[in-house]
Amino acid sequence: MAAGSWARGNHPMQGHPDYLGFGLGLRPQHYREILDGEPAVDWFEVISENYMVPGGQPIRMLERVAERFPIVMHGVSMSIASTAPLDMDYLINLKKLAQRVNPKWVSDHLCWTGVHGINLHDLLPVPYTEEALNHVVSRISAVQDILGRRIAIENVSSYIEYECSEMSEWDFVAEVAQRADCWLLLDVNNVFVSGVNHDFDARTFLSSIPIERVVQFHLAGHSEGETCLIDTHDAPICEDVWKLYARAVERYGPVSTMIERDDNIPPLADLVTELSRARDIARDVLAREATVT
Amino acid sequence: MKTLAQIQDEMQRAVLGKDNRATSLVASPPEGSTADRLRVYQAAYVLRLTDFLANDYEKLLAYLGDVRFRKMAEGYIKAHPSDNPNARWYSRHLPDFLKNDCSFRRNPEVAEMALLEWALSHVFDGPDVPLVTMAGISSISPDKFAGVCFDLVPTMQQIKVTTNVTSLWASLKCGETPPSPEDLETPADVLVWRQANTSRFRILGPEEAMALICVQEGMTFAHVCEMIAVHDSPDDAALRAAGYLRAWIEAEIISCIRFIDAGVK
Repeated sequence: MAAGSWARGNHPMQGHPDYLGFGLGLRPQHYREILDGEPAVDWFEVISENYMVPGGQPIRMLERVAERFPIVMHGVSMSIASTAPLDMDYLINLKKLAQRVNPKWVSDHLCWTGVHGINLHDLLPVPYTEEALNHVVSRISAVQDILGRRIAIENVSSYIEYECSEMSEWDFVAEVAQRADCWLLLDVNNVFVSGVNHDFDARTFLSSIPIERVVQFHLAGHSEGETCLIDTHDAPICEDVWKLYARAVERYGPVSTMIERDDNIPPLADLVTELSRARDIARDVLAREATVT
Repeated sequence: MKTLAQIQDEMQRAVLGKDNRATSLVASPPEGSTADRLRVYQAAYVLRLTDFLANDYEKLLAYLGDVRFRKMAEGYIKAHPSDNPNARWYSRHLPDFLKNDCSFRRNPEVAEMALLEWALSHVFDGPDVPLVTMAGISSISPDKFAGVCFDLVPTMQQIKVTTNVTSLWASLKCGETPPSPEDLETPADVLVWRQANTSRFRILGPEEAMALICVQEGMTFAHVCEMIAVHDSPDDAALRAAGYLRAWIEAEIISCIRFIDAGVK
């Protein structure tokens, strides 16, 4: 879907984004290798906020990478579920960056990051209530109107559940997508982490999310805290998450997939090797599915 | 039942460590207690903001060491909750915070290190603007030169230091043990700017510092030359002024040439 082609009232599934293959998060440590070499990476996801700066090297490098690779913009500060007013300055800057970079899609998280003018720089979960659902749906609709495009919303890892929740996380996420007419970015690691932390079956989550809404998978590593798993993005993907990824491919088919690594960032070659495992799993699962059908 | 706004207010207070009323909002987890689970968010908040500071002030971290830096960061985080969605701006108050922090009263180089590092990062991703070249200067007809003014790029800062902070920074950059902190005999101006996509700095001599302030104030170049002439020997003032101008253009800090009436200073 081209930027600016979205309009409220369009047929919901028109313009489903193209399948991009297997990508990585664009990190400054890897700029040189990416621009000088031919890494086996099909596309890059960028943290939007890192490039929402007035000028200089960051935006210049992004534009050079964007000349050769499809780009997806992924934000951490939209605070779509916050009861604070939408940050219009942020959205205007996000829109300007999107106009400059022409990403395949723009995503952020199903969470809130602060109220009363404070930003906690964390992805805080929402209670799964009808009130929160209505609030989030209206905010996503407003953001889509402002940006002039359908956005993708990602499920987050969480360490608490609210006593007042009236539905499961997966029902909440599915309902948000349908009512707000947005895409979903399914973070497989987040499903796993929250599943362990709240003792639910991650496969139930996967089987409840509408297939046609999912445009992207995230894969990442996590770490073990004292009483729960923590979504740290600082380690290789664990075996359990790879297994869950295979289940996701079984259900959703080929979905643009990328690995997020935000800390203890290894050489690009290591991430490319890890990405090749995602390719192998997807290829094997899809080949098996084709044989069965 | 509490509203979404009330829930977010109580959760935020818990994350900021103000109170634990949010404990009653949280369902009993399969492992650990509700307080344990809230502490994950509380700890992550401090860790994340400390990381922002450490990323923005690498040399200060190296100078203070991990323990002192973390203690300093705790104070800053308490005094300055983040008010910007972009982490890029979180640490902008640190130079002023350190200047007023009584634990560093005898170490002015600490606040100046933060000032220098913030300036370096600020110019790194500041706005891109057109640059004036030597060819552009050469094209000005001599009769118009008296009324010429120069605009400076937004990616330059002129900061005042009272210590040998630039030497400390340079040693830390090379991974060497820094020299002892010392007060300068007289405060110095440091030019911080971006050239060829790289942040740089250099100490300005008093005359060049004064001349650059004059340019920033919008004086004509003729007036800047007069100021230089009264600052030191008038004999070769025009030559010295031309030398400064050449250095500024080569450093990519002149963005625009403007002409005003020769009578206006």
